[in-house]
Amino acid sequence: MPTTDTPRAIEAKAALARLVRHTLEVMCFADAELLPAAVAPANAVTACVSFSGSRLGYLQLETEQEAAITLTAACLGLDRSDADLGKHVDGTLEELASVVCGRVMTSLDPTARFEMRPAPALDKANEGIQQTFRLDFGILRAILQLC
Amino acid sequence: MPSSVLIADNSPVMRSIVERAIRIGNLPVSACYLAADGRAALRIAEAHPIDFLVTDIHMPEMDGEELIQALAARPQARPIPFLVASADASVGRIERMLALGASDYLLKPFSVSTLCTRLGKALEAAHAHN
Repeated sequence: MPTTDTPRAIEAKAALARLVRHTLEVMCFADAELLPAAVAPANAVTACVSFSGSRLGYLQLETEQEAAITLTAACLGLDRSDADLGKHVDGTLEELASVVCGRVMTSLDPTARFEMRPAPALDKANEGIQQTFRLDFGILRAILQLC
Repeated sequence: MPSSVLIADNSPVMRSIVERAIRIGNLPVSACYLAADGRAALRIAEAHPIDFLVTDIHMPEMDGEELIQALAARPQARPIPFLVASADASVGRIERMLALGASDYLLKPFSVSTLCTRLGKALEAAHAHN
């Protein structure tokens, strides 16, 4: 696991911040303010994607349940009171994680060849490169672990 | 003339977003077929007349690039025009998919309105070509 102050880690951290914000803005119309320190959301809904190929590792998104519901409603164009919303929450967060992962991978290496697949939540979520965002409706943390 | 469209993406959320774009944009689509991976998409394309394909790249079983190669290898089958919707922004991947005949390569994330516009243009071009 690289330390968080190498040029590679600094570049990855910047890419993670930029692409999480961009993805949330485009897919969920959500403004995400980058916080200076990592914060773990309470009672988080989690989506983790593993990647392999040119680089190996994991990308995980975590957000509070209510924030996940709001993001899902915005992403799917559904009303927040829609009875079906709950069943799409995990899938929406997983798709957001996949999009961020793919874009971060190719941002760090435009020639990267990689595969992505859903993965179980990280055992050690406090390790790796982390960025936390304040949304209008909660906190979201992104974790990138490069092996 | 309305087209039958096959949407191949392992994410049910993304399949739903593409369907929504078709609905919101009032695009000329008569039927939508959904597949969660390339192999399922190939089976659908063999069983139904598909006019247009929207495909992701990173899918289990058979990825989007393999799907396009498998579709192209079918004897006597007419080529299916396709648009790629993927978060894979690698130069090589985009070049390969365009070389395989992609009418467009739409990078995720995208808004529903962007998808609407680009898919509408791709459907129009496919219809004009036929």
